[in-house]
Amino acid sequence: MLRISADHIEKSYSTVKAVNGISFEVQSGQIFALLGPNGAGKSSLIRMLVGLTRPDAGTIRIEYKGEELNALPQRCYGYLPEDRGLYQDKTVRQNLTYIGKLRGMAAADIEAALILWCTRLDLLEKMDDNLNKLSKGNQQKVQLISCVLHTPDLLILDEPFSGLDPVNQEHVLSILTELKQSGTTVILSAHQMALVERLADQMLLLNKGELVAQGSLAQVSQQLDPKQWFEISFEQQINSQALEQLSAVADFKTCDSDKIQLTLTTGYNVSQLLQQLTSVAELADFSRIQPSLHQLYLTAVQQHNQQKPANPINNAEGDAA
Amino acid sequence: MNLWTIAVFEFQRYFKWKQEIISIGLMLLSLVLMSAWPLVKTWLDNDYKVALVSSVSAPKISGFTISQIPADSAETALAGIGDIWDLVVQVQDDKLVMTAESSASWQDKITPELKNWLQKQRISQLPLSVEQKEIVNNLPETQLVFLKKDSAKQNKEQQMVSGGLLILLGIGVFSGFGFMFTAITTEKQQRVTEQLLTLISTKEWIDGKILGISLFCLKSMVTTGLFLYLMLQAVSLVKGKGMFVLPITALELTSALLFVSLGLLLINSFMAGFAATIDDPNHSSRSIIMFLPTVPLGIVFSAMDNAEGTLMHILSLFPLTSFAAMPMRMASVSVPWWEWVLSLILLIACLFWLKNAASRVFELGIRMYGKEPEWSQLLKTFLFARVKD
Repeated sequence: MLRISADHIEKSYSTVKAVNGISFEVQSGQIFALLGPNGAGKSSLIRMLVGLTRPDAGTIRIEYKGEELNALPQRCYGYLPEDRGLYQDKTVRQNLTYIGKLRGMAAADIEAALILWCTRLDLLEKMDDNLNKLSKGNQQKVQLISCVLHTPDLLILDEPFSGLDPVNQEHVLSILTELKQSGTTVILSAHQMALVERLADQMLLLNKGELVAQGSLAQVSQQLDPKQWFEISFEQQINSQALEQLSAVADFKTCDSDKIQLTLTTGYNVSQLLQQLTSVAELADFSRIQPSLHQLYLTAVQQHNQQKPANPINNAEGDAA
Repeated sequence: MNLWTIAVFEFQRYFKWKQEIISIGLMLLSLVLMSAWPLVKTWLDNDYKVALVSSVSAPKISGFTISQIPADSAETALAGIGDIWDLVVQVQDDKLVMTAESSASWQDKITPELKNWLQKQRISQLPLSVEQKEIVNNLPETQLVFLKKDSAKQNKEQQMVSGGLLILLGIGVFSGFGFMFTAITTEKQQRVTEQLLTLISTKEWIDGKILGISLFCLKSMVTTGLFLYLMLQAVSLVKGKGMFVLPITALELTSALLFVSLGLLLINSFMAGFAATIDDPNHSSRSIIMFLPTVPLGIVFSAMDNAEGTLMHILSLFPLTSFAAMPMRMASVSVPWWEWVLSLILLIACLFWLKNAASRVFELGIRMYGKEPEWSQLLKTFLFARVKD
C-alpha cells in the first residue's frame, strides 16, 4: 500500500519559481501523469519526489506499507531521469548488474530479471554491447529496465516515451499498463498526449510552475473546457440565421453545408436543445464531442499564458543548486 | 555492502584485462630491449681507427682500434686521415697532438683516456721506486665506521629504493588525479549522478569511489614497481653482478605499503570532493586545486637527500606529507618505533577528517549542473558544514 501526498510544494532556483504551491495525491496502483510544456515544473517536482532536491516550502508525505515517511525508501521505487544517466562505456549487462547490486538484489535474481526484461524489450542480443553503441531508443529501453529490474512498488518516470519510435512507444505503454495491473504505482511526465490519455488515471497539468488542472481525464476536460460541444448533421442544408435564433445554442460553427458544431447555453439541457433543433430542420445525426487531451492541453496552456506574464527565465528545471 | 560493490565497479572501470596484458607485454618487451641495448650498441657502434705515433705500447679503449706506428710513418698517417685513419695522435714536447678531419663527438670520449695514458707514461719515467709510483697512481682508500648498528644505511642502493618509491608514489597520485577527475566529471556530464543518487547516498558513493580508485592506483604502483624491479635484475645480470637484492626488509616494505595506501586514500578523498565541484572540466577554475596533492611529493623530493635531517623528521610526522616521507626515511635510516606509531595515528586521524570534509564538498558539488559553488561556499563546506547521510 502506497500513498504520496504533496502539500503546497514550492521550489525556486535563483529568481525563478519553478514550482509554486502545488498539491496533489497519488494513490496506490494509479498511473499519475504530470503534464505541461517545457519549464512547467514537472521535472522539478519529480526531483523533489525522489529526494534529489528538497522543497523550499510545503511537505511531501509518504505512506508506505502502513508507515508514515518523509521520503521514499530507496529500494521501493525505480526512477527514470529526464537526462538519461548510465555508463556509456559499459555494456548493457554491466550497467544493469551494477544497478541491480546497488539495489541489493542477489546475482541470480539480477540475471533472471535481465533475461526477462531484455527479452521483452528486444535487447537480448545487445546485452554485451557497450551502451554508446546502441541507438537512442535502445538506450532508453535499457534505462527503463534499470527502473523495473527490482520489481518496485512505484515507478517515477520523467519523459519515458522520449526517444522511442511509435512501435516502441506502444510497447512501453503496454508494459506500463501491465505493471499497473500488477499493482505498481506509476508517476510519469510526458508530452505524448495521445499516450497519456490512454494511460493515466489521474493527471496534473502545470504551466510556469502553477497548477492549471487536476483530476481524471473527464475532470480535467470539465475544468478546462466546461462548455459542452455537440456535432449535428441535418438531412438538408441548414440556414445559419435560423440557428442564431435558438436560445439553447450559445455558439456554433459550420463544418459543412449540412453539418455544424455547437455549444449549449448555460441553463439549457440536451433535450431542450434537441427540441429547438428539430423545429429548424430534420436531424440526421447528433453526438457529443469529447475534446482530445492534446486540444485541452493547448487551450489550457494558451489561456494560462495569457493570464500570466511571460517569465524571462523559465528553463530552470535542470538547475539543481 | 554497497561500499564494496561501488569499489569493485570503480576498480573495474579502469582495469581491462586486454589493456593490462598489452601493457605488461610492452613493459617486458622494453625490458628485453633495455637489457640487450648495451650489446646492440656495441655491435652497431663503429670502431674508430686511431694511429698513435709512439714507441710505447698503445692503450686499449673500447670503441677504438688504436694502432701504434713508428715516428717516421707519421707523415704517411697524417696523409691518410679520412681514408685510413680517423685520428692521428702524436706526442710532441710532452703534449698530445690529435689530428682529425673534422670535429666529432667521439673525440671527447678518447681525449681523457689518452691524457690518462700519457700521464701514466710520464709518471713511469720519473725516478721513483715501485711503491712511490703506486702511491702516485692510486687514490687513497676510505672507510666509514659507524658506532651505532644500522644507524646509517645510506648507500647508492638505498637511495635508489627511496627514489623508486617516490616515483611509484608519483604514479599513484597522478593516476588518482586522472581517474577521479575523468570519472566524476563524466558522471556529472552524462547525468549518471541523477540515477545513482536515488539508489545510494552521496557518502556511500564517495566512499566506494575513493576505495575503488585508490586500489586501482595501488595496482598501477605495484605493477610498475615489479617492472622496475625486473629491470634492475636484468641490468644487474647483464653487467655480470648477479641477482640484485633490494636493501629493504619485508617489514619496511609492509610499512611502506601501509603508508602509501593511506596516502592514496587521503589524496583521492581530496580529489573526489573537489572533482565533484567541477561543472565543465575544459573551463573550470577549480581544476587547479586538483594539483594540490602533488605538492607533498615535491616537498618530500626536495628533502630526501638528507633523510636524517630535521625537515625530513617533520615531514615524516606531518600527516599531509608523512605518507611519502615516512617510507623514504625508513628506506634510508632506522626510525624509532614511537615516531612510526605517532605518524600512523596522525595520518589515520587526518584521513578521517579529510574524508568527511571531502564528502561534504562532494555532496555540495555533485548535484550542481550548469554552475559551480562559490569559493567561499566551498571553503565553508570543506571546513565547517556537516554532511547529511
